Amino acid sequence: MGTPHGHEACESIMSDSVNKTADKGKAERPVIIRTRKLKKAYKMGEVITEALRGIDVELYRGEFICVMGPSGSGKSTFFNMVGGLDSPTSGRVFIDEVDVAQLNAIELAFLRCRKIGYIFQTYNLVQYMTALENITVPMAFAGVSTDESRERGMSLLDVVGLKDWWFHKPIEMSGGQQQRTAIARALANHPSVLLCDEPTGNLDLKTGAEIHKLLKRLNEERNVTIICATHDHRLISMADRIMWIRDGMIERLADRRDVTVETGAIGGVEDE
Amino acid sequence: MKVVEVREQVRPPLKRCVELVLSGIKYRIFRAAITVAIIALAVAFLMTMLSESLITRRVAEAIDIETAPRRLLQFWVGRLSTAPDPQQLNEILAGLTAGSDRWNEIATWGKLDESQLAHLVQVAKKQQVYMAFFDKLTEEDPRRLADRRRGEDIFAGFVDETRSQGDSVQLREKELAALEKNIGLVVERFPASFEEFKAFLREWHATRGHRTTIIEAHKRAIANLTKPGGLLYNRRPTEFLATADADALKGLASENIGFRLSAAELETIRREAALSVDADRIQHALGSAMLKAMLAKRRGEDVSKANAQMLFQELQSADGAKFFVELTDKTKDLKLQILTVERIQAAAILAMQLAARRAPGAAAADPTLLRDAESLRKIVSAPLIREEFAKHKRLEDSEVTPDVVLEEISKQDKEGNREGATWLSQLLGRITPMEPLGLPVQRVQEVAKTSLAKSRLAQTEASVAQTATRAGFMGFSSRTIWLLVVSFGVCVVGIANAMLMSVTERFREIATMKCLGATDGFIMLSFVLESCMQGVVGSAMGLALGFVLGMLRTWAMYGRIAMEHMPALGLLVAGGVSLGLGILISALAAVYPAWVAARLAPMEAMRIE
Repeated sequence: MGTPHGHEACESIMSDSVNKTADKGKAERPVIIRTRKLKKAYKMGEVITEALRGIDVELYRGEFICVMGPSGSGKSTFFNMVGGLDSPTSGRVFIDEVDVAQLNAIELAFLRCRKIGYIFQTYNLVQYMTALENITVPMAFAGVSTDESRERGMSLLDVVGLKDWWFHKPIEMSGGQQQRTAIARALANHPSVLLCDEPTGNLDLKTGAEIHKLLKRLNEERNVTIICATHDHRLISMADRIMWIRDGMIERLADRRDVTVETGAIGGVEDE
Repeated sequence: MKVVEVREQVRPPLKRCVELVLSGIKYRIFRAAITVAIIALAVAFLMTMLSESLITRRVAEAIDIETAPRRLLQFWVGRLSTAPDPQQLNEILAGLTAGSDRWNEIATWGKLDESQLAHLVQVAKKQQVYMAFFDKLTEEDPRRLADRRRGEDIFAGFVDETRSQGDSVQLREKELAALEKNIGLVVERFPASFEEFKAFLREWHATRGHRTTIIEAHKRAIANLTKPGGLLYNRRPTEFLATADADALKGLASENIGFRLSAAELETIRREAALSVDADRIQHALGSAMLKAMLAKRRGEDVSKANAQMLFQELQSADGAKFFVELTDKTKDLKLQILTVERIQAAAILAMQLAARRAPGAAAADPTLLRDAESLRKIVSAPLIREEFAKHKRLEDSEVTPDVVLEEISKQDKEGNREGATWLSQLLGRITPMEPLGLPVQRVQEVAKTSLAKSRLAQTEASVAQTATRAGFMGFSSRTIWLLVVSFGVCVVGIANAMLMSVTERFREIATMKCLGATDGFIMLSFVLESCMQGVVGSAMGLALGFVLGMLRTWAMYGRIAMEHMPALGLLVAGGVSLGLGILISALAAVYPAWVAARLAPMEAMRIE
């Protein structure tokens, strides 16, 4: 399930002497994403902005982790790094022990196709394709045959509960349905990681809750690592770990158990 | 460390790519339609120009074939009338083919054997080349090169006559040196080396005698034909050729004349000449005021508009031809010897008496009067006379019978005025009798139809001559080529612009695709492919539109003949070229936008704005 396709033996080199056991007693858990002294700086005209100023973190396989931080904190930049969408200025990012900085454009494309699934706040479905066709696009890029694509696509739709909607175009679906289609698409090539950028940002509370449940279910059933950038406290409360980023550095990284999630009450009304 | 598996990253098969692109186009059909329209217009323009050019060429060829008999006739009429001047002879010599009729004629006239004539032809060809060079010089200073001489004199000016004799030719070295110096000033390249030119001058001078002999022989031949007893004595060449037979051929080829005309050519020429002669005779009838008046009346036109064209149009129908033949045949009846008015009156009286079978009296004893009376009766029976009489007396046509007219003519009032007879005398004075043609009605029709066809052909020939002989690629003027280039350039810019807009709008879609595993190459390919597909559709439409427009234009310019001669193969090739060009420019136009799209970073997909 969480195993990438066509995988051949690879060699892993631990370039640094960082000990996995440094983390809180989870020494046996395999690491899916690892960063070392990750730095990223942007040059806008004359000004150089340091978005990330040295991030060291290890994310485990099968983990559900939420990333939080104010705007301008480098949260989006960190996301892009671990998602193989951008390269660091200095430092390393290892995805499944592969140093992302070493990969050329085509290899990066491969990575994005097979290892990582993306879920966007704006769903980003192709408007002129049906739900099934949307889901099978990444399969086409992975070289899967048309028949198998359809089969797999239909079963994925079933997983997200949209089996009868396979022929609908995004414009004919609600926001929640579109996001579920997007999730199914993200799962198309059995990725190891699901990268979610504010997945319920455009959805109402009830629909959002459904999405949260779906994500948690996928995380548990398929052992797929989920990395979410979010402000939604319900999603946060489902996470295994929570990471705060501020000013380009990790401010705090804590287990869910060690954190209390509360919402502010206005005039005595509390939400679910 | 890199993972080996990366080798497997594939681009989806082309089929999938095509499908993806197609559904994208369907989604953005309006934008695609604009791009298609742009390409269609540019390709239509190209195709219009190409089809026009091709059709014009084909029409020109067809006209050439159809006018060949006429040109052949003109050729022979020309050479049976005058001998060529030295310049014309040179052109003839340069175009001689060994063994042809012309070759043999000239060999006989010039008393030359095969090799001599061959040499003469070589010299003539060189002369043409040098002449072309000197002709291209403008009136400005380069003319100095030949000291403003023209034609053969150009060469003569370089030869020192006084010191040349026979084969030994002395050239004017000073003039030649000046020429050599000034040659470099001229843009036009001198066709040969200077030594070659000098050698040519010597040859040219040495062969002058031959050329003169040929021209003289030709002149003698004509003289022999036109002297009393000759085939062309008192006859125009056209008339002679219209009735030439095998004996005439022999006569032409006889020893002291030497024209060679093949029997097959004679057939064509004779037909053509006969048509020309008959057409002339028919047209000649327009000299008669009466005919013009009657023609105009028949056509319902003003008499001032009566011309040969109208006449031939009238004669096309059996009716019109019959009228014409009868008219010309009958006017000979209207000839009357010059009679005095008294005589006319007396003849009228006698005619009436004869008609009433009254005893004529003494007048009948005069046989000439009797004859005049008979003539007069014929005259007053002629429709024309009766019509004129009706007009004169303001009567209806039906009220005028021959007897009525005769009665009027026979009157004499108390003062002795013979009004009727005077009127008739004046009328007859105005009428010019026409020579009877002696042509059957069918022939008249045939001649009329052919003449009209010829004049239409001549008109088409004139308009074709303007376009078909234009130099340049496919007969395109440089202005047309420039316009074509500009139109395609505008097309490219327009498509690139539309495509760039599209890329900008679709940034999220493109970035998402990259997140899903699309390579930069795939993105670029899909955009170029999209443009090419639009190019195919646009080119096909433009192709059809351009062809139709080209056809319509040539039809308007040349008439039906354009429809009858379609260069199918050429048009097919032109269509292929236009299609190919259309697709090519759409692909080219898409390159930059596609490159921009390919360079888009996947993280753009994350952007919220």
